[in-house]
Amino acid sequence: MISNILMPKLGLVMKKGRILKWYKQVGDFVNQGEPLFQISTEKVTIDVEAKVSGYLRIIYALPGAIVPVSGIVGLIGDKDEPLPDIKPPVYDMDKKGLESASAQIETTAGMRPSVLNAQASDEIKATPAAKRLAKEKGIDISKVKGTGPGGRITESDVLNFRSEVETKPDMKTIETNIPATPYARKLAEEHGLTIQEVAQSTEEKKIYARDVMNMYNTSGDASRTAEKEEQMGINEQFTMLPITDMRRAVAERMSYSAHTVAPVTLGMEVVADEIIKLKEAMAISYPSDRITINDILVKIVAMAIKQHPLINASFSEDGIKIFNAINIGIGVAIEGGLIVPAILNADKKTIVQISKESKDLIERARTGKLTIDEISRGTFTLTNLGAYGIDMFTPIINPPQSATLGVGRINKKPWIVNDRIEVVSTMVLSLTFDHRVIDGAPAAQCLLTIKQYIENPYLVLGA
Amino acid sequence: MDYDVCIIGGGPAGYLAGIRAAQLGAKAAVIEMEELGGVCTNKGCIPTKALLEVCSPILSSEKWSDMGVDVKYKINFPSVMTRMNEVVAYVRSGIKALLDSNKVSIIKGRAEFIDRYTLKIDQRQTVSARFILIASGSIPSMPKIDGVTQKGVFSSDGLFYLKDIPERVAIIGGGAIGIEYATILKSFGAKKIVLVEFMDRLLPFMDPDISAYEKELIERLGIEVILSHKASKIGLSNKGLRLALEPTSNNVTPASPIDVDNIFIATGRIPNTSNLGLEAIGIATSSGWINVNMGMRTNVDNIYAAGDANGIKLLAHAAFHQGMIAVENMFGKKAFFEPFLVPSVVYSKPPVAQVGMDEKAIKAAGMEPGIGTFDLSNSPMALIHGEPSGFIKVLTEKKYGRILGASIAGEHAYELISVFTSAITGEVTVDELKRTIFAHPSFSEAIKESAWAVEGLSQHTLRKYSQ
Repeated sequence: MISNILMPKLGLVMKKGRILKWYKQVGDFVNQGEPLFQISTEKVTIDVEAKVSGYLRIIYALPGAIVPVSGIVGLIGDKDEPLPDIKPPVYDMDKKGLESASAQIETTAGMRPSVLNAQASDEIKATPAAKRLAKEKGIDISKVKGTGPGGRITESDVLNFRSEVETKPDMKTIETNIPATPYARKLAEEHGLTIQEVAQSTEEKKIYARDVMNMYNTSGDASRTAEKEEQMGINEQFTMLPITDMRRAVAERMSYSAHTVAPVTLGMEVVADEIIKLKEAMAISYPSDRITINDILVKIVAMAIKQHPLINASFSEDGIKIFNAINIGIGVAIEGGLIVPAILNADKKTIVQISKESKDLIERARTGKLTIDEISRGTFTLTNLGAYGIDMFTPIINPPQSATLGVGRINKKPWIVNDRIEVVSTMVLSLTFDHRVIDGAPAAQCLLTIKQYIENPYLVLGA
Repeated sequence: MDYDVCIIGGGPAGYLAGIRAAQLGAKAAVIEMEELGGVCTNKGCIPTKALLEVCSPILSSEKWSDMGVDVKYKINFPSVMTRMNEVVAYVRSGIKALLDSNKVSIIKGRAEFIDRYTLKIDQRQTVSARFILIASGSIPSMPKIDGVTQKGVFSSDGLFYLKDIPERVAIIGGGAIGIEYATILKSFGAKKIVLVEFMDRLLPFMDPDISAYEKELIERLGIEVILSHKASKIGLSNKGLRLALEPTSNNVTPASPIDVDNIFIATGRIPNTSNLGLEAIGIATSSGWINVNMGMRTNVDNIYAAGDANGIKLLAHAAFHQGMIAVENMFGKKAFFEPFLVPSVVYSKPPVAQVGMDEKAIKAAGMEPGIGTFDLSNSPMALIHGEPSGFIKVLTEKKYGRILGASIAGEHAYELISVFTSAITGEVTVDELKRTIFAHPSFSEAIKESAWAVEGLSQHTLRKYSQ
């Protein structure tokens, strides 16, 4: 029986995935449970296993193809079974950062993925000379219209074939015939999109800026601008680092954050002596758990949020969502980027539990084994740069969250206590919040609660 | 169900929603406890503009004289008020005719919620509807000032009941209402007018350049402006009222008390939602203003609120738009209100207007602003009209030239601003405005000049050479 091979849905928020490579070639036999292809989503790379045993008959989505969840990427079935007569799906391509895995299939830049069927190219009627010429010129012969006997493609057809680049003036006519606002046209140009492709992505009769940005944000083609600038020689004096999926995800989220939220940062220096004592005491009681200051801070922040639920919110068109669950995201620096796995319901967990989970999350973050849910459920983010010797910084909010706490290093300094100078350890907290959701006073109150807990950590122990 | 949509309130949000609902094929009813047209038609936009219109010949008689035509006028105040009432009645009857022609029922009475689908009207009848739109509007707020209940102290509604013009007046509140009232009272012969504003400039929510222009204008009329003060006490003097003021900033010299005949209070409005029974059906409010999303829906999903009652923008043209959006969302269209696209207008003489973002807002949104200002002293049409003052200022996102805002001071500002409102709505950039052919001479050609001025290339501005 022929069955569809689908793009899996790996998490609540996953909308599409990019094919990185196929482990099997058309005609190969694959056992159920054996890795069949590899995909990457915004943040994770994962092998997809075959759901049934059978022969890989067709690959619709070549490496680089961006496929929506449940999109058909290929067919699997018996060796000689007739294939159903279906229209092959067409997917957008994004080849940036692909490994040479795609060497097995030759694709030219900008080419739309097409059916990779062993017979497909043979079915195109073309003279051998035409095929050779097409190969030399890098022209996809399936796009050339044949004028020879029976529609056969001749050498002169290939010579007369005008590539997409050459036909650009025609594109321009099409472009200006599609209704779009002047600003939308400028934005599209700036983001390396054509109005035509934006028009295909929306049902709107007229293209507005939001349609361009929707397309841009969902197509994952943010690199196109760079590609275009590169072509125009603008960036020739620079070294271009490839934009990994991770880097792109971080960049998109950061710029989304910077453009939408109204961030305000409050700073407060707090005395850390008590929290250090607690950590040392816990090290004696739970020697194998290696509890860190950060583990204690996760608990403290969760308990403070419980008292100030507005901090645990998200701005949306329909209103301000206040999350019931308090899931504390912890910023983990990993090679090539940053990832923020969350400790779910941190307010309900003990510091020891938090510590165990946190170590597991950090370990799996560094080996790329987190699930999408683990990195998308955070409702508040805690970032600690103390280990890098940072005193204070202004963290960026991780949308759709509305607040984030930055923690600096613990440092000994003279401190006035009861009009006397004493040596204490302090650290600086920076609470950045989205002023669209939270006003200054409630944010300040939350920060104050965090300070009280840090200076009296036993208050959260019983909770 | 008696109706598809029941609308509480026959003001701008309510009656327009009724018409739009009928256009979409719904059976609709508008419930009104006073007069159709709401504050706008009866105690706001329409009567004040009717009064301001007759101020024009009075305020411009000197100008006409300079232009070679001596105009003599005599004010017959009772006739002015009669005419104002005639205009109001005419507009009101027009609204009734519009509702009738659309077969929208008009129910007279006060509505109160029984449940989320049912309203009780004046204890006498109940009506039910699939959707209910609350468009109950707002009323003037009287701040808690000692002596505010003295005779001779009016809210902003007081103007419409005046029998004759008081000699000495204080107006508390330097916003649109305060400025328009000051202009009217001055034109009709008030000898002494003092305009008191809490903040450090008139029209504190508009562009600072507009504020500066307006202050000059008001002072030119002989109206005294006291900024950074609030009313602290209203007492009696031997011949009228004595208004004591208190500074709101340490940087100003405290003003002495003012002796006046009447005091108008135009400091703000409060929602007219207290007797609707909202608590009973769990509709969320903030200080009485009904909470809605940008599709005008409340937390109860068949109930919407539009116009002043939701407190988003207390302006009739915002109310019209919200009423339309609310009804469209009831019937499956997706429409959202963008407060940013609502123009603000003050009908002073000359008027001022503003729409979109100001420089500060553009910067706060992380964009680099482009600013082009054209001075109307360079406009031949302004010169011809004998009022070559004011400016047109356009604000853009510099990177794309996208138009994000504009402010206009000068003749016809309230008409000219709409060019910018449509430009923002249509995502037009300055490049299109630069290539638009405007009639010459006209006030509107200054719009094109302002667009060129973003790059410092207004052709009708003296060129400045840098070294």
